[in-house]
Amino acid sequence: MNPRVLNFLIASAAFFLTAFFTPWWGTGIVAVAFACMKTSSARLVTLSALSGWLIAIFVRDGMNEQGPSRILLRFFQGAGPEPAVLRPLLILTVALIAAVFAGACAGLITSLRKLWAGRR
Amino acid sequence: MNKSRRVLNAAQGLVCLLAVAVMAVALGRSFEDLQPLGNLISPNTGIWRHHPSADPEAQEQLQAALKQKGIDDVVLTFDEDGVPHLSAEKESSLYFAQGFVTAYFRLWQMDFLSRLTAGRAAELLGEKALPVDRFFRRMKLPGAAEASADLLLSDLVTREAVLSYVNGVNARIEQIEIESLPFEYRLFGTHPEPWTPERIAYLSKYMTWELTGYMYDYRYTKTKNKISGEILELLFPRTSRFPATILGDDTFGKKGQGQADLTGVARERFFANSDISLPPEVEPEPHNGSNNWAINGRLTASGKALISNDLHLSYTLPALWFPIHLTSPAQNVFGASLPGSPGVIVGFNDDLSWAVTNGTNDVLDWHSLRFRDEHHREYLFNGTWRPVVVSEEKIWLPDGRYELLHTRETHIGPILFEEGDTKNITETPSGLAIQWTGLIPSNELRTFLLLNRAHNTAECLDSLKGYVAPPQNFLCADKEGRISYRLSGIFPSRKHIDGRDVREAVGDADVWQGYLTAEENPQKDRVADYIVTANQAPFNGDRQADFGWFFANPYRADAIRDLIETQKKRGKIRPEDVVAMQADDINKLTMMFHEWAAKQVPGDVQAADAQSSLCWKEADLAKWNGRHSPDSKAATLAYAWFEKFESTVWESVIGNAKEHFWPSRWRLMETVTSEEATKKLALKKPLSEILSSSLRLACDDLYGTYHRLPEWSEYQTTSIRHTGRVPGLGRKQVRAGGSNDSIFANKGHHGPTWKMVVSMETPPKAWAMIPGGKSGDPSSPDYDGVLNEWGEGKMKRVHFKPRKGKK
Repeated sequence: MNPRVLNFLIASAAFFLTAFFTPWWGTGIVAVAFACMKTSSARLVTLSALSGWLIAIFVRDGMNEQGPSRILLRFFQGAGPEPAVLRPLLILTVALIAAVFAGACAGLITSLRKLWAGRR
Repeated sequence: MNKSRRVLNAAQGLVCLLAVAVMAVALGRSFEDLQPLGNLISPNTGIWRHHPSADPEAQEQLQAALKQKGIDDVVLTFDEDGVPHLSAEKESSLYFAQGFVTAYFRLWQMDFLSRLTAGRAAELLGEKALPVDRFFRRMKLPGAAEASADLLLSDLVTREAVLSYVNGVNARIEQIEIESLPFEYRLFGTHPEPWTPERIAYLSKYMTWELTGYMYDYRYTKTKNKISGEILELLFPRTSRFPATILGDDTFGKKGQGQADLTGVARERFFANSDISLPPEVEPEPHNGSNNWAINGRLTASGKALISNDLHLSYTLPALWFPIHLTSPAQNVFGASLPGSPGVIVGFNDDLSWAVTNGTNDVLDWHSLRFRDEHHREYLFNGTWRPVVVSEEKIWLPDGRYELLHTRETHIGPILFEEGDTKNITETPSGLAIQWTGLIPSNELRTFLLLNRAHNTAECLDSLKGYVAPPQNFLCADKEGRISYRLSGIFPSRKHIDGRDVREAVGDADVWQGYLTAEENPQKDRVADYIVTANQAPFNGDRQADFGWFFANPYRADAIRDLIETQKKRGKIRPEDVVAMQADDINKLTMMFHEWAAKQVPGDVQAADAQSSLCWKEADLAKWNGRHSPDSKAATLAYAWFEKFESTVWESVIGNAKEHFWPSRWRLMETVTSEEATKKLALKKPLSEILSSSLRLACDDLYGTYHRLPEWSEYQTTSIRHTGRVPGLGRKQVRAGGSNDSIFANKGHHGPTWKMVVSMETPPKAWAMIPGGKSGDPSSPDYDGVLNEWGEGKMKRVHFKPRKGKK
């Protein structure tokens, strides 16, 4: 298997477990941990955090009639229709927030790493 | 690495650092009283979780959890409708399991309702709940509930049930993981608190408030002060002669009521410039009531008594009631339980069924006090200055902040409104003290637990001894065919006061003189044919005033009687007939009104303008049968027309409804259909003209809003709010018929919250329905459950297994 794909899969699994079992800031710690690895990059961390969170939310939400995404939409919308497209969009937005946060954490470490390497 | 590269890396690092910092702050912050955004969106702690419904998996989990807690004599099953059936060898195990299972489904709801009554709703909902918390604390409800909890624990009937139930709820709270917390906790980032006997008492006081907290005295007094004595006597006679009372004419003796007038001082001081209003969240729904009726076996197909009940309260999601079946060696009872409290409130067992409706009695009076000065520290009573007891309380918010509140109490009762509550009250030196039977420490749970295991109507009536509040019309029917009725509750003895108006209390004669004895309450044993209660007056006669003055219109009771009489003529009555009766949506008031009004309005007025003409034609009232079915357009026009007519008449005679108390709709019809009475009103325009203009106004409004004549279910939209009024967690636009004065008394946001029909055969046959599901979690498929079927007036057959030896 392509090492990049393997790295992505491992990181995605790690982010999935982190999202599932730790508070939100756990994602930041995992992102930092991956960013410290030489084989990793901020881009990889961002993409794998996105996929890990997406899967975790989909599993928790169920996407059925009473899924929390629908309840949350109702909460924010109050009245009015609930277009079906809004639910995946909402989930994607939340996963993107997590991914950006993970990417920023990883980006910070990567920059520091590069700066450190440059000094040496 | 060259310099420019290093600068670029440093810049990238800085941007990332900034992004991390901004996001960390944003994700850690709360918005609109919700929990911090990061927690909210996290799949671990946030809202992404699907709550299981009452399925076999949940059944196994709960059964195993109970065993793990050492409760191994309980068998739990869910029937096909998801209703839990609990069977136990020991009473303590039964109530433990009831607490455990109820908390599994309804933890947030019971937690919230008990905190609401304790004046602690802001702990769960944040600042927006502060007005409600202030109100309940000033009412001194928490103190009354805490004193009631002592009674729960000192009574042998309730002690074991309460302690076991409390342990069961707490076992569930201990077991619950953060990711299993109900949706609302995860939304607001709050946590459940251990259950206690006090919290059970809070729930009881909450129901008492809901059913007796009518604060009509103030508006009535303003009305009384505004209209002439002749009109007052016409519109608000001390006792009324209703066409459909529960017991007919007075058989309870006569009694002279002192009717001292308001002193000029009180009138001037308090009413000059005050404008008091309750926080809308806590004002009890004026239509809180119910229907119940019992039919003797002589009239039924099975030869056994039939009992019917529907409890009209504000709709909420989760549904207010939690259906449950409890079996132990001492009882086998099915019915509606109040989440957070042991036992069954309304239901049936192998031998007896019972049903309740609100007595709609006046058990709350307001008194104006004469304070020594503007500080309101002392008030005059029996010639001496008495101190006002001031307490300091903290109302906590979810984020650890609190608001300091000063509550004031007199020996008469708490002072509800103080300076600063409204812009106008700050200008008056007077405060108001409240006398309310709901503040008496009481143990109503005893009555219900005894009813759960009662065998006959004699035991039913025995169970009612000591019942305090809210006053209820209890009906019992046993398998021997006996039917009994009793209005149960404590009623104030008002020897020298009217009770309807606010008066200055400066001595003993101005306040309640104790309470009526329980023997004075209306009751009837061994009902021969049938008996109907629908919040109407218990009887006609002098003593009617002892029990109240704002009884419900008699139309629902009248409609039920009509249907029973019709069924009688057709043959023996079956339980299915009674199930159908509960869905009856004929409104006798609007039917009567439109028949009368159409005769008063000349034909050319009906077609005065194009819109009215179109509206009239579209409604086709001439062919209307009085049904308020979801698709009826005639019902829309008849109702809207009546409302316009009512407001036109009373606004001209009395004033607006916000500040004044309007007579009942029954009184309006009695008055306007009598030529003599109408003359006394001295209306500015003839009735025919008022009716014509009301019709035009109604049509204008309807076409202005909907651009056509809407169907009834569009005009009276049925919506179910969330218990904590959290937006989005309720359900809008349920298609349902019914109306205020129909047997199916759906008023859009209020109506039948528990429907039940029981035929006292062996074993009993029963039907029931709640507006919603069993689960209290909005993310459960069983949250809003059978709402659509409920809207159609349907009921579900109850799965009730008799105890061994009862077949």
